[in-house]
Amino acid sequence: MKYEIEGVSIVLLGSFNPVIFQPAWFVLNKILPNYDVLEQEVNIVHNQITQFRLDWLKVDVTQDRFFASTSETANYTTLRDFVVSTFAILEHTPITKLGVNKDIHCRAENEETWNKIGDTLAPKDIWQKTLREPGLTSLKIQTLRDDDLPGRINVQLAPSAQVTPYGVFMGVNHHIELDELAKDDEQTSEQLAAILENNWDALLQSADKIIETTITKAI
Amino acid sequence: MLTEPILFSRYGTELLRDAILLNDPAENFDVEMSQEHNGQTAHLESGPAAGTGTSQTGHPVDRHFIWPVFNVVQSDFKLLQLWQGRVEKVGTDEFVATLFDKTHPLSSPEQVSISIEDVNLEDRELLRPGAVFYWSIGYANYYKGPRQRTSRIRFRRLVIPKRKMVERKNAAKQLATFFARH
Amino acid sequence: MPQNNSPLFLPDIKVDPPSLDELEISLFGPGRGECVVVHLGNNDWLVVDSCLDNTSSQPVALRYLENLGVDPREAVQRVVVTHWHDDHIKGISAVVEHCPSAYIYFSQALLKEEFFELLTAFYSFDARSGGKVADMIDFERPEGLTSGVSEIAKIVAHAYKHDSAKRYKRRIHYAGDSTIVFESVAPRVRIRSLSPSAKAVNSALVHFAGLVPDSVQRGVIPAQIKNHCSIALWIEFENIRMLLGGDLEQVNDPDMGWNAVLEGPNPVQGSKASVFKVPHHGSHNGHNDRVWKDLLEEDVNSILTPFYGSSNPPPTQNDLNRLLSLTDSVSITAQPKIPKKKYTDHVVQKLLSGMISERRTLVGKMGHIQIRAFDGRFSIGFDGPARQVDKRFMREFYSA
Repeated sequence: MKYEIEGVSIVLLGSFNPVIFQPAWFVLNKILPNYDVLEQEVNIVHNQITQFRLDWLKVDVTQDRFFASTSETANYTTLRDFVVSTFAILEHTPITKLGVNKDIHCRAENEETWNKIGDTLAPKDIWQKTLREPGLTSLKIQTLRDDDLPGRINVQLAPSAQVTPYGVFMGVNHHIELDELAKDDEQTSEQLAAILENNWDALLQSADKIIETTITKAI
Repeated sequence: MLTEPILFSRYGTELLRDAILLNDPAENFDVEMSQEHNGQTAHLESGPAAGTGTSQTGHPVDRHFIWPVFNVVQSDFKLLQLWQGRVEKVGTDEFVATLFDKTHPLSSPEQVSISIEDVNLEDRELLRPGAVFYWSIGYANYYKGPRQRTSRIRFRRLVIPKRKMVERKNAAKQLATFFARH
Repeated sequence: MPQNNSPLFLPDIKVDPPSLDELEISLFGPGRGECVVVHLGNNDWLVVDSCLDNTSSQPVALRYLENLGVDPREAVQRVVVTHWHDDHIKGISAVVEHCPSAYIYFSQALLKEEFFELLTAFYSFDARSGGKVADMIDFERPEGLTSGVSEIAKIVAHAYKHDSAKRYKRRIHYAGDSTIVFESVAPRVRIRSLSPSAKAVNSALVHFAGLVPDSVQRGVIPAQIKNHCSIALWIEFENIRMLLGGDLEQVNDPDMGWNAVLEGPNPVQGSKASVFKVPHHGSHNGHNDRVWKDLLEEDVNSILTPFYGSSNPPPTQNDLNRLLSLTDSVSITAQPKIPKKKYTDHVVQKLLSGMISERRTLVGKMGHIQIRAFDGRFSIGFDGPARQVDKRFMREFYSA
């Protein structure tokens, strides 16, 4: 299935010092090459938030959340390497949760198909008894994981406001409770690396499968 | 409390004007904003991740996000083919690499000779047997500006902390002891 | 296609399992890696190395046994690992996992600290338990991007953290230049390893030390590395002898390679082999005249796999001519050269062709040569692209 817009992000919850995460630090520690940061934009570095954008990477860090994302398919694995390397160096960072997210916007063929997706996933007959012309604005499903990682999978679907008309947004969040896996901060960093290296392809493939199956079946 | 408005770019990307915006960690904002965009209304919600019970590691905008617009900029690079490569040998002008096809994962790996000139100067210090690189072919400026067929070789940067380099020697000793039979 | 357009009649492989007193040797090879599966009588099987079946991505040994109706959990008695690099033993850890009755034989070099240093350079083993079986982190590298030792690492990790660690550990043995790998009485079977020699083991350990990375940037082990610790096997089945040459090379050292096999303290004696798995893909690196003279019968059934991963991929035309001068019976699992991969996207195809000077496909279709012997008579069958090497074959692939 062709996605008009897609992106992958890695989110960590824990305790961070945003000031560290500036482009120069990544270059100094050989996590990013200099050529990546030459054209950075919107650079905020503050003790409460750091945010910067490179050609292919967006980084957003607050005191309790680290977020890195890319919408370049070619760089999905580079994103993974970036996060693994960062927390290999900052191995004593307390991290409690890990999220690996795939989000897509695709376009239905026509209005009829677009509506059919919403009607299949959220049938309207019950709602029509009390609501006039009900429409789906968002749907969220949560499920257990089918691997041996502690956590959940959260799936969201909604009409897309970025791809119009007839756009559909879907997001799959692989939520992993790192604090259930590791006994101390060093182990967390190792567990983070292990999960991201061992499971990266599987997590993204799982997300693709959920998205494609859901939309295909809903049409 | 918010002191300045959140601005939205064309694709819904937000720009945080000032860190003061996030000074208040309280999760009880009740500010609502909405903005017309392409005939649709995007609602700004604030507070904890929307939809109580949703994982906090999803939808990666930390405090403020737009629902249902997802905060992703459309990439301007259209990928046609992606390989992961392993450097086997480095010569004077060329290097030999094994390519694993990530776009068609079931197809056979290939061995190729690539000119060193195709490697960015900064990446050349990484060019050694055993190095891993990603090679993508596609169109740059796909959605705006004149399209350009592009080939990009990017070497993997996956750092080992120094502590681990020492630790692995201890692990090797432990394994050797475990398997010692004579 | 054959030049003279007449059809190739090659006998097919047999799809029923061999009878209890029938010997079988099956060689599989897609151009990268190879696998030998041997029936030792009484539904006891030996597996040497591993490669993946093209269609199912399953280890070909497991797929073959399953197709024969043989349960590998009970039937496979021995697994021998003659290589240590992933590219040549893909799926061997799955074979070990699915064959819990089997003893596993490695070269001694792979159970030494130098090799474990190489392993731990790429895999994280939690060494903090102070000698107890640790809570390990299993690193299973994503498919395709081999680290060169992931298959061995998986086997080692399982051994280290298995619940019954001691019992699992007893399954792992090392093969040297005179190790009895298997014996049975009826039928009379004996498998003996002929290599690696002690000097080859030491040479391998030095080689491993040189591969341990010192950079903070994590890489992988390149594929073009020497295999000093290949295991060659001598199999005696009643009156039949077979020599599986592994990857053993001919080197200029009396204490290594084939010289050590022929001159060592326990040379092979008695009858000569009637089946020979040609080492090192038939290349001159693996050739030793005395092996042919002293260990192999005239017109020995020689079987080999090609290797697509070099600029002059073995077996070359000269290699095959050499083999044909020594025996009439030469069979190969796949054609010696395969066409370059074609990319359907013409932009990709064009850019690729413009940017690279040399390109070769590394893995082709899986070919299978099956030899069975009963009551002194041999039958040979072919599957996939496997072929007999004869004048027709030479014209087809090497016509001027």
